Amino acid sequence: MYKVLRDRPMIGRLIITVSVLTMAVGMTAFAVPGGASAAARSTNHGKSGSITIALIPGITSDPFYITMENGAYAEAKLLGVNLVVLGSSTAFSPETQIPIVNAEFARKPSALVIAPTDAVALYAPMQRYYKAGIPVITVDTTLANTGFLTSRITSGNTNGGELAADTLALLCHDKGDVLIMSTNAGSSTVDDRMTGFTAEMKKYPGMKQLATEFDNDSPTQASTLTQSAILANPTLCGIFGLNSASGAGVGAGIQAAGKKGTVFAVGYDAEPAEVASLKGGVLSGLIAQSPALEGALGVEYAYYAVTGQTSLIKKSVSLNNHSINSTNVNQKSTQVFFYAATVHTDGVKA
Amino acid sequence: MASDAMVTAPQDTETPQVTAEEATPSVRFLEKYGSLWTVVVLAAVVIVFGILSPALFTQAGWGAVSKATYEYLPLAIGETFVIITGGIDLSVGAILGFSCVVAGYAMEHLLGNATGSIFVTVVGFAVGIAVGAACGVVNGIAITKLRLPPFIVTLATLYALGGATYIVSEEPIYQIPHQLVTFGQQELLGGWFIAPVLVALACIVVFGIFLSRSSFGLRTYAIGSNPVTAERAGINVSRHLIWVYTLSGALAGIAGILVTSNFAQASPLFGNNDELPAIAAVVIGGASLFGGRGNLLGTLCGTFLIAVLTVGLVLVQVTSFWQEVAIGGAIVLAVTVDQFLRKMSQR
Amino acid sequence: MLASHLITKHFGSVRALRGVDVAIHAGEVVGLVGDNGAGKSTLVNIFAGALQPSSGQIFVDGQEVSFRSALEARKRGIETVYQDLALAPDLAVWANLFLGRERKAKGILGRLGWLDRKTMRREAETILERTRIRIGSVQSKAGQLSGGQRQAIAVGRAVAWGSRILLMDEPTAALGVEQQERVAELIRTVSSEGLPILLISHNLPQVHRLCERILVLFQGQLIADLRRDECSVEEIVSWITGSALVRNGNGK
Repeated sequence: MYKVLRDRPMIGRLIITVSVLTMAVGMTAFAVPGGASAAARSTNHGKSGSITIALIPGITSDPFYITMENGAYAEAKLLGVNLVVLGSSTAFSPETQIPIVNAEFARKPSALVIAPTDAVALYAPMQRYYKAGIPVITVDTTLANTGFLTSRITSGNTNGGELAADTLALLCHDKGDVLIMSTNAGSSTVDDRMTGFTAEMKKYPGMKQLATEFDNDSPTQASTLTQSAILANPTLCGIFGLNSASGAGVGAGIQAAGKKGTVFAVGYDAEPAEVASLKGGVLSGLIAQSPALEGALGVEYAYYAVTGQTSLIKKSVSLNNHSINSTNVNQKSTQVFFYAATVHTDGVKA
Repeated sequence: MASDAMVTAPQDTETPQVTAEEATPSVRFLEKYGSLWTVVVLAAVVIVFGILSPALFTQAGWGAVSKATYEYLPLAIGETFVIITGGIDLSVGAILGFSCVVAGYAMEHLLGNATGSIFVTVVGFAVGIAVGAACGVVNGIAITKLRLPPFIVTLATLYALGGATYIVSEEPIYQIPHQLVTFGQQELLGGWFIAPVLVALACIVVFGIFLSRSSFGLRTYAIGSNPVTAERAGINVSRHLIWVYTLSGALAGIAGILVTSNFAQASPLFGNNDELPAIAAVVIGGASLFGGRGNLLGTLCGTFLIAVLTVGLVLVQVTSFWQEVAIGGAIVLAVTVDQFLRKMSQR
Repeated sequence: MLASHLITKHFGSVRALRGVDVAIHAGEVVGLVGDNGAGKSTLVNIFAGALQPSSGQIFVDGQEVSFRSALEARKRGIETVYQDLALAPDLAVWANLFLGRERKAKGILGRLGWLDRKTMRREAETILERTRIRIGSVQSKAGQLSGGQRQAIAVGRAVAWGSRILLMDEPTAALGVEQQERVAELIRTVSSEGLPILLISHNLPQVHRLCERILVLFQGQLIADLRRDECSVEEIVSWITGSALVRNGNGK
């Protein structure tokens, strides 16, 4: 090797460079945690010639989606199909998701289950699967144009808003003022939760809904607005923070105003941090979605689509949410709705 | 190794000759074709991933890779010019986002209730490029007239534009002409290309020729190699640098409109952190951050290398966390090898 | 061909030059010597257009001129070989020779800036031939060449473009003995073509060998204009240190 390096330097260097980079690439593909199969977060339960379902969540580091993955893995194990999960860990955006969608398309999975990060941008990449004969199912979010989808599964946002209203009514004993702390207006998720809440609130004549506040998805902003609202409205009893950032901010604001126990906050989603807030009394209620069930159902419907049992598939599914509050937070039956922080590829919680 | 110094004594004192140590043919070859090694590396990576997952060698595989490059190629082209002058432009991602949102805003308001209009499409392109160029001019002026380091100026621009983008629009703008969306998504040439990819490749060709064959290109290298020399040669270095940063901004504007057309929206999320892969591609391609070296063939290879890694790792089913680590690692490795080669070819 | 009258230059409160008169004629090789800080580089930079004098006049071929930039001086045919050579190490030899005055292609392409590289390479070879410099290929990058070769290119560049006078600031300062000889040969060659040269150097033996006249600056003033045949190196030293001043008074 030395001789080559000294006498014919160009070639020697080329050989070294290529070898080093090949090793690097090879190592990443094979040596990374434990081997290709584990690293890929895929499972190989199936028999030969089996089905591979690709699941592309919105962002892989979010407990909501981690819970969804766990549900999907459990179902895949039951059905004996392979599951491959791919997604960006750094951003919930079409810019990071679309390259993954395009790349996976080259491997032609049996079916695609996906939470599209944008209702418009993902249309063309996903439609390519449909045109190639691969069924496409959305979970959590969906497209603006859903024509080619085999099914779209979500946890009902309207239902979530209604449940939040009921929870606040329960905590306030049907009396007092409430308001919504919302993130920026515009997404259908937000709109549906607000509509559901407002409609359900009308069922409680003893309670009045004040104007909605907008916190731009900033917990700090939400906290400030909460404290102002408490000062301005002495009869304020409850605030619905309709996503996790808002909920966190509302809880903090109530604490800062010293109104813990007199003003109640209901947040959305049951991530470990939020559950801890609930147990600590900072939040009084959480509306948990059903990501595990979404994931499981997505895999199940994908299986039906691939095996031709299309009659078993419902085109549109809106799952119920669950209200977690101080009374039931320690019950085993409620804890199953907490979101997970780690992925379990065998679908079984440790 | 270049053959070492051997001073030859003059044969006769009447015709003195200076023939001492000079570049041997192999060193000159390395200089001229040095960036060729990036092509070799790219080929090696493609082959390795292709063996691990033959799906890479399908039309869909090429589609995934090419679609992962069109956003970064224009940015990397601009960054190449900037880095050759010895500067850096950290704001290209922010310029992309800002210019595309402003263009989207313009298109939305010009469209009114219509769904499409060729005129509005053209206006969209024009506004995107113009806004990008304007941001570049601001960078250039701040760097040359205020005499501030490019790192600081473009960092400030990055932050300022990041905020300004959200002032223009907090939400993605979907109301753009359908012609623009067709441009961005229509499969062409038997399904092998989409227009944004063709535009990005055309840019590389055009600017590659421009950089290597024009006096502007030559002076760009001169400024990076020795700015005092360039000044003494009569080159208006300040004006030249302003043009270079303006070009970088305009190319970011082009990238912005390409993304808008393919994603069918103008979103404030676009361009976020894009400067990192752009700069990485340029450095992998053989440019020196000290200036004076670099070319667009290398940048092209660098960009495709990152795209192949991105797609390839999905194909071999490496999880996203490790994807991002692997790409970072490959970049460090590629740069280290490049520096090593460079050192060995120097006297 | 080049003359100055009562050139002064202040840098703030520092008086770098105090009323310097010089005259350099065709075919002369004139040395400019002095201790550090005597004002040599300042004077040369003023002639080169890189600095403006605080007061005084410059004459080229009898005509008064003023240079607002190095470019203007160059347009007048004054070329400078700077102490740091002013070469771009990453650019090829031909590019260094033509930087700022690139040959463009004909027609529209040329107007857009398309370079005529073939012509420049060819002319570069001619330029280097003229100055009897041998460099393997004009496409070598300047940074890959030896100190002597780089010096040769800097001189070659100045000679190729200079039509009135060549200013050389410490052309052999960083070179070895053998290479210094090469540059000396170059200077003789150039001078034999009639171009006047003003040479700043600390290498007094070399100055004595090459220059017919030697100007001595001391603390910003021209204190001696010596003919080579009439003085020795030791005498030059005594003028530089000012001891000759003490002995002889302020004489020319």
